[in-house]
Amino acid sequence: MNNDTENTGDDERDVVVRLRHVEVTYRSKPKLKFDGGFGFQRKSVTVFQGLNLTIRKGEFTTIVGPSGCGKSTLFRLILGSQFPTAGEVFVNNEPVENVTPKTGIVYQRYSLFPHLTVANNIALGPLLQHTGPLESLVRSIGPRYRRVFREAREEAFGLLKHVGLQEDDGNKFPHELSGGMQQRVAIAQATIMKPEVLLMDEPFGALDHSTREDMQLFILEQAELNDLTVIFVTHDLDEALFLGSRVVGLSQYWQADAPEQQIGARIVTDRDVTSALGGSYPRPTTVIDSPEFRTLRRKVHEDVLDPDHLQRVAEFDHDHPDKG
Amino acid sequence: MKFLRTDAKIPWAGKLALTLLPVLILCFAYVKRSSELADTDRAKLMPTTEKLVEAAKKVALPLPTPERESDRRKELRLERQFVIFKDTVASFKRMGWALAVILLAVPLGVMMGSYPWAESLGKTIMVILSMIPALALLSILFITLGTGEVAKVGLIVLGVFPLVCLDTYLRARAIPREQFFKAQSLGACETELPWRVVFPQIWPNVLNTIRLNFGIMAVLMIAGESISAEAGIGYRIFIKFYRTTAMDSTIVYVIWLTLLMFLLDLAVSLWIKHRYKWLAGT
Repeated sequence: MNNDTENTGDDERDVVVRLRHVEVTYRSKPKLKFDGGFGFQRKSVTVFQGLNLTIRKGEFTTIVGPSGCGKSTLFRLILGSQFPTAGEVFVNNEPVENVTPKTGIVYQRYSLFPHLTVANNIALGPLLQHTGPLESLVRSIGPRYRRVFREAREEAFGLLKHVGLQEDDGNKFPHELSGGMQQRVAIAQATIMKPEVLLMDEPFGALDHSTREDMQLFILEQAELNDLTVIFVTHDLDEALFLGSRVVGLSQYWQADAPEQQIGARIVTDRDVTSALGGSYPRPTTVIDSPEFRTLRRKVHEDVLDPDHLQRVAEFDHDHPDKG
Repeated sequence: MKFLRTDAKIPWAGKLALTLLPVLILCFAYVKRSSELADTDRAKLMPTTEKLVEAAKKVALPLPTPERESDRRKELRLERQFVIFKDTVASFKRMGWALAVILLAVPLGVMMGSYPWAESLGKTIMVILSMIPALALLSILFITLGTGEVAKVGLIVLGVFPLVCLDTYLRARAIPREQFFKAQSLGACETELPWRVVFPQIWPNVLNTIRLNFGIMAVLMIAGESISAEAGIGYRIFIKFYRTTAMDSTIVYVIWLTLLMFLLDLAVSLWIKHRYKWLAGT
């Protein structure tokens, strides 16, 4: 299996996210080492090498894989908070050079600002967009700032009922809400900006089972309602297959002659879940019990987690270095 | 023994009783010991409560006007009456100026905690400055800056500024970087991050730090005033009362200063609790 999931023949206009020949190498801090004489040693680990990935408008792409497989690195590359050592990352056909409102984010934690009320958290985006940095410094004497703030709050209160919250909740602080409610607010905060792509980093990881199921249905509803392109990072395979119209599996890989030494991470599977599960999307919750779902789950599990399978992938790549 | 448990819920009356207990014990011990010493040659070292009340009246109330009084005596009388309040104003003016300069440590700390270049530039020098015992520089400050207000304010600033700056820096550093990215994804530019993301989240805790430094500020203020001043709590205690061993007036001044600092601390802490309700949930 190679590391290229790019379909070069498709319509370029639909492409929202594109990673082209991306390489990410981490270099450790220099360590003093004695080897006959003193010297400094730096280790470098290449996480991605020649990574290509294309995500189209309206796709709900779930990125799945075990811990340390590069999910978060991929997330940061698309977000613009980390840059590749080589290769390019584009969002909406423009190179990613910084974190911008083109990409919305929902984290497992830290999505909401604890000092702002729920309504002010949601209103923060429009407020930041329509007021300059200096204007916010003199906000108490700026009539325009106050008007924009009022309008942004009205918009935020209007959005509350669409995300299943009461108007009263708007004046609460995030810590006064349950975990599920907080994530609803975080989703509203991100979607109010109408981002080109919504990045979600294990957003439901800290929720209990039933709240998690509610939130899964909620994000599917929001994605459809707002016509969102979503990249959803998770380590839960069931969640990835239930939510994603497409699932991308990442895994670590090893050198054939040194199997204990991880040398990087790569895309090991990229599947169109919708066609594999019978074409309907969003799919009903009962799909999890269907034989098609179980078969697909097993295949993706093998791709992502089965060490024997990964060893075969590594040997294949080792014999054919141009495939990597 | 439920009230000894870590999760004990103590009713407000119980809390009040526990709060007052050490204060009452302290007062009782003082009253008992001072009355024991009242008729000995050590009576002056620990004046009785009656003497303390007399001393308090002398420094806080108007002095009696004699039937005949020369202009010079009148001038002296007017100068000496309400002296505790005049000293308080003089001392708190110095504290106020010092506080105004110390507040500049907050934006500096926020910058250091937000931008790596500011961290590299400011962290080490602030750590070094915080290690200098300000009192050791007392004489140098008065020689170089003169015996005026600048040296006294400078002493307080030197002692507290680096601490507030480093505390702000550490708090700013602890803000998860995810929040920066989140704010940027909502349209914030780089320059907005320190005051729109970092500052509002750490400000109540920085206020708490400043509040906890009021005691150090008072010590440095008294030290500065004890070298050279024309009015002030430290000046009165060290230059006037010390020379005459006026223990009763000294204790009145100490109680007064402690009370003021306690009330200031209480006011700031209540204001933080009222103004920043979200802090309870973090």
